[in-house]
Amino acid sequence: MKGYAEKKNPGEKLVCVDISYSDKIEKLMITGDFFIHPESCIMDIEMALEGVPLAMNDMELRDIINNVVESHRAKLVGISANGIVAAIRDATMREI
Amino acid sequence: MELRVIPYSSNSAYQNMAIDHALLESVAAGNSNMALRLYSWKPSAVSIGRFQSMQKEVNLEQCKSMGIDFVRRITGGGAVYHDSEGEITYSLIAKEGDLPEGIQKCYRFSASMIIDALKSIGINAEYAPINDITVEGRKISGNAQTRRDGAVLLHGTILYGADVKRMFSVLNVSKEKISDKMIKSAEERITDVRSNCHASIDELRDALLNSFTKGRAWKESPLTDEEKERSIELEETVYRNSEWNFNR
Repeated sequence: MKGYAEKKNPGEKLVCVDISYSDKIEKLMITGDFFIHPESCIMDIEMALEGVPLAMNDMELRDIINNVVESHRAKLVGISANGIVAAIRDATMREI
Repeated sequence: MELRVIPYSSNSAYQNMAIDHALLESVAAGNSNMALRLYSWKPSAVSIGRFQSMQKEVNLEQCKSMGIDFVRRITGGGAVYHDSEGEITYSLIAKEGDLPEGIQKCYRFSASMIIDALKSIGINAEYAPINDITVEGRKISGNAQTRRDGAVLLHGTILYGADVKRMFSVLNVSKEKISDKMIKSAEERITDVRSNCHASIDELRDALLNSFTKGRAWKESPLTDEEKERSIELEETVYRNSEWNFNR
């Protein structure tokens, strides 16, 4: 299945998620007008989430994202692990 | 340190982004002082942020039919319509140590200079975090930045005479994006210099130059041959390359 969602949490920028999924995340692309430094961090977040069961709870998904962010010592502006997880959940409820 | 001011020029979207990128590399390598560019875009163009989807953000058919270029920036942030006659873009390239520490403090820093420039031509603007400048709640300037090897590229636009209909005929703006702005449409979110004072676009440009150079020693200095060569290489290999422009 495929899904797409746009999510704008208060005080953050727009975060969009394109997702292919079954019982797990098959493919994920996160786009939007946020800022991440270093930029390669976003690709590593996507890769870290691919293959992850959707049955995981939000906290576990956030931990995966935060681990990538910490390993890059990345700075996120206008986007958060919370926002990404919320967009993923929305995308899986909006099949395209 | 003397500020290096690159002479004002109008260029294609691909050239503009390649020049900013080449200057970022030049400053990072220690080959250039802190540099300021003021420039415009000819032909008009749309630039999108580093993490945006070209297909989703831009009405590509409309751009093609109107002769409007489209390019992906190396900086984050949102899609911008750069009217060839209706805005001025600045870029400020510096070593990280020569700017306030951190992404948001850098935005505040460049915003303060733009706000001072607007004030000098009679416009009261304010910084609207994360990266906007507004007049009575309406956006007049958007800004973006990235970092490479210890150097920062900060760039942004100041709307002079926004052709809002044209702007939103080439930009696809989601309802979600304006959901927290308490407005009905994206058009209501925009203002420009011409709607707020009688300054000419040349006066806006002078005001920006005065503000960015205030209290600093500065000298006009064109691109070096190495920077020109590198910008041509980047233009061809990156900014005119659809693999880059459509990579998300």
